[in-house]
Amino acid sequence: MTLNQLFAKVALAQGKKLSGGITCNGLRIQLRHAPGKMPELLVTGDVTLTIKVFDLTTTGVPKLHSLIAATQSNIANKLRGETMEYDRYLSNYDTKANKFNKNTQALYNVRYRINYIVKLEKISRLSQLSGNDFVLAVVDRIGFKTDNLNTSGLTDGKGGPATVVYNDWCKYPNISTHEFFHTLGLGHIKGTSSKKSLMGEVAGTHNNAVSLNELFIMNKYLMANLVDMSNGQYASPTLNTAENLRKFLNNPTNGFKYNKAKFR
Amino acid sequence: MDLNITKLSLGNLLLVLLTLSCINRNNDSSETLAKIKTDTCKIDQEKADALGSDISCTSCHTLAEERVSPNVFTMKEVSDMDSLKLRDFLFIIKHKKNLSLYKDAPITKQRLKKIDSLSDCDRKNLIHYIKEYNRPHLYILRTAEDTIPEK
Ligand SMILES: [Zn+2]
Repeated sequence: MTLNQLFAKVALAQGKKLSGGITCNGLRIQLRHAPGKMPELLVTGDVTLTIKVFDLTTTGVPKLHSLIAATQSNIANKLRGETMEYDRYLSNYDTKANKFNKNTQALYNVRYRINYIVKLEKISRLSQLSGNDFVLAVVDRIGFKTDNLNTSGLTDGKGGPATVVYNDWCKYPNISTHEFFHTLGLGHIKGTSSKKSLMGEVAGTHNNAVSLNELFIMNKYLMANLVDMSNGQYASPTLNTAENLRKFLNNPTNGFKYNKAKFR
Repeated sequence: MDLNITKLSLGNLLLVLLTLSCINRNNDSSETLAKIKTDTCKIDQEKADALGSDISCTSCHTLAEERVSPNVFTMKEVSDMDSLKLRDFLFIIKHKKNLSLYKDAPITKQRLKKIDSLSDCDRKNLIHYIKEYNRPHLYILRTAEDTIPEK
């Protein structure tokens, strides 16, 4: 049992709600093994993704609630769909015990049919942010300069933190989905195919397409701890979110303008 | 006499100049050759990513913090290895120790065969992909026009 699983079990025993970027209540695994073929695991169930939206703006944010609602449904829509991973090395799935046995291993084709429940929660204090949360900080301005273009979002890949400029989010409603998908491991799409792509490196109002390969990459990131996730209450491991956000915002190269009084 | 000395000096100078220009020419050509050699292999992020997803290291070297089995490194541990060690591990030891595991897995077998058949440049790109895994990635989203006026 990992330390994280132990915390999840203690939290459950204390009647506390599980918290963190990725939480679930146990995934269902079905093993199909046709003779002469690779064994296939079908993974089904609900996985909750929680993104804390930290309002660090100086000005009023009248559109924030509607932007949060639209982004929440956009993320959920983009994460919808089945993906297949071939030859994944995993603990052996024991059909009699109905769980993975960590003592032996095998290769499986894994078919993911996950229902992602996406929650964007607005927070206003640092104490509302846990180490294993996903965060999207909303700021006044990002001074990071490249090619004389305006910077609307800045994110540390794989785990975050993610940041977005409030006024630009109003103008380009999909950019917070874009930033969050960096958190889930996606990079930028360059060249001609980037025009409609959500992950195009220059934002536009028409950029919202996500490819099957991109869905695969995000699913792989989210399902990294498949064995633990299938084993009852699960909350994702720490990302040092609060500490990383503090460092990110205070890095002078990034040029953030935000309401420092709110970051406490 | 003076004239002879001048002639001799001029002759010497000519010889020195010729030698120098030859040395220079030699240097030039070896530099160019070295440049051609290094220039033909470009480390290209997109190419490296494509190779990485093709070979799919992360199918066995888990993205999780905990190893799947005691003897198989996590992706983070693989990325932590220095490039030379990685080269040995990838292309010389060639994962042969675990070959029995792959006998019924045609896709993994194919992926491993692909590692063996990579060109020297592709190998460099694959190592780049692996090393990049642990490096921080800062993504900058730009918009074409300033939406907030400069203060
Ligand atoms: Zn981006």
